[in-house]
Amino acid sequence: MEYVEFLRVRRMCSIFASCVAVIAIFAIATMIYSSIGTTGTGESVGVTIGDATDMKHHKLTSYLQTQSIPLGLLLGFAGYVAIVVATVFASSLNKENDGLDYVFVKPIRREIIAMRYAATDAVGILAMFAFTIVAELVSLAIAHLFGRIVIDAHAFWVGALGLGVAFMWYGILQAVTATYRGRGGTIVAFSWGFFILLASAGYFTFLGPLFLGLVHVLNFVNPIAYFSQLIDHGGDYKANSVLGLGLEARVLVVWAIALVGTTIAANVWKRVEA
Amino acid sequence: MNAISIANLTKRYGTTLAVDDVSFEIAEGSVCGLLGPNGAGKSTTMRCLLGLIRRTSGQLAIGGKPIVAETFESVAYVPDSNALYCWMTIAQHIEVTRRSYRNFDRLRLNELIAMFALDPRKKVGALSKGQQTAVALALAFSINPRVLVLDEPSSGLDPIFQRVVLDLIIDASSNGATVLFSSHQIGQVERAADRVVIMRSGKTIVDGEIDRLKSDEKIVEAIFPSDAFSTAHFDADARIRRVERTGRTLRLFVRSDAEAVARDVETLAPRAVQIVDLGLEDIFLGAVGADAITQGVS
Repeated sequence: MEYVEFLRVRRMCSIFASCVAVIAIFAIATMIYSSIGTTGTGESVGVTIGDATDMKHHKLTSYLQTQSIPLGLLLGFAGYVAIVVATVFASSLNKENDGLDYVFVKPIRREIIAMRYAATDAVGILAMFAFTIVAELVSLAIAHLFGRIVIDAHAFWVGALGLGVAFMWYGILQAVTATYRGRGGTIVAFSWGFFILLASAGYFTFLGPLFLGLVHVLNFVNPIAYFSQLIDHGGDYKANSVLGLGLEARVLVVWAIALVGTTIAANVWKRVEA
Repeated sequence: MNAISIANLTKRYGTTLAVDDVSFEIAEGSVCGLLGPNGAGKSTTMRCLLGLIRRTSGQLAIGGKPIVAETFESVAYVPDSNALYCWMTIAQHIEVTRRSYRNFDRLRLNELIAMFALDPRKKVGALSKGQQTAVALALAFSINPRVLVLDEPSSGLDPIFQRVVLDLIIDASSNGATVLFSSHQIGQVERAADRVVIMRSGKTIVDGEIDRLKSDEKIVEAIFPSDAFSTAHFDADARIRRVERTGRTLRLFVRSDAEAVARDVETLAPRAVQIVDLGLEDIFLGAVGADAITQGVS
């Protein structure tokens, strides 16, 4: 049965890969445009447009020429792409609920079908995460900025967190949507608004300590809350986090929630009636 | 050994009793037709049997064992509505079947695809209802199942393909497979099945071999010169279960001693009298009552 999910994942990955490729081309064009203006090897397009554009142009140019590019930043962006991909794949069991007469009469245990679906989705998420990193590296290489990449101390933890948040979101949505019929996509879309609002709600200090306490607790199951403050600006991940957790702790928690969510999804889905 | 055993099956949806203490068994190699008006509980019984919905109570077995995932290696099910993926092609469904079943028979499948004149490159969503049913049937028969559960398998098919489906059922049975199928077309059941279970309001009201059920009763049929004949003295006759009168025709459903009843009818001076075997339609209508006709049962 995972062949069905493989077909779905393949189709969605092609769409996402095309989007990432378009973003990469746009980024390459922007970086090359910036380098033209500063190296003097050609006419500065930015200067000819006007002063404001010229200023922005020189800001970007200056940044690219002087600043290093932390690997954590690249992994973090790949993590965001993985999150988007994960939320799209996250209603895969829900999608089967209209055709259980077909799925549940296969000689495969239902929880095995569910876990194979999750494994197929996981491969898709990992593939898009890897594809995004490759696209970033190729883009930087074409723009002659590959040498500016620095491996910051927490880069790999950031990568693990980015992927973990994607899988956490996937696990939560699978668990929530597995028993519903026909509402999976709506719940996935709603989750984005809900989680962003929940992460932001921590700043609504005027609502009082009780509300803030509740928000703080709820944010422990909010993937976005774990993905805040990823870039090492001062080294203090814990202080800058919505949850007050260090980077390593966040990585452990998100992967644990991902595992629990996916397991719950498989167990509730196998009990769904056709 | 019984291929299918259903004992005291009850399925309740809230306060609605969909299946009420249903019991029947189907021997290996037998073809059992499941008949009943709409809402009689036929589909629910089948879906409970396959574990697609949870039973409230009762025991179910296929091949003498409770149903587990491995059971489906040799069990095929075709539901009454399309459960295939509309966005996938027929070829992709074939690939799913090939990967799922050890017994998948590619040559058999190719025969069936050709028999139903299907194009494997087409998406299921682009097919008519009848063609979707044909795809489901082709996939079901391609695994050479020992047990087939078919919920209205000829639904949406034209008369030619309906005949093909019946031939497939009979052919599978002659090769030792057991078939449980429901249909609203009594003629199909009469042609393919050796056994019938008739349900009404969630209960089994008739269960037996068709030949035996037919031989249990006879019909004494008489045609009179006009419709001015009296049947009053047949109403109280213990040998007669039912009296049916349509214009100049009188039909008496006789439990025993049909020849003696025929002689009694002859005293009324009919134009012709004959003793005929009971048809499955007569058994069905006798069991569910004439109001079944108004519920769309042919």
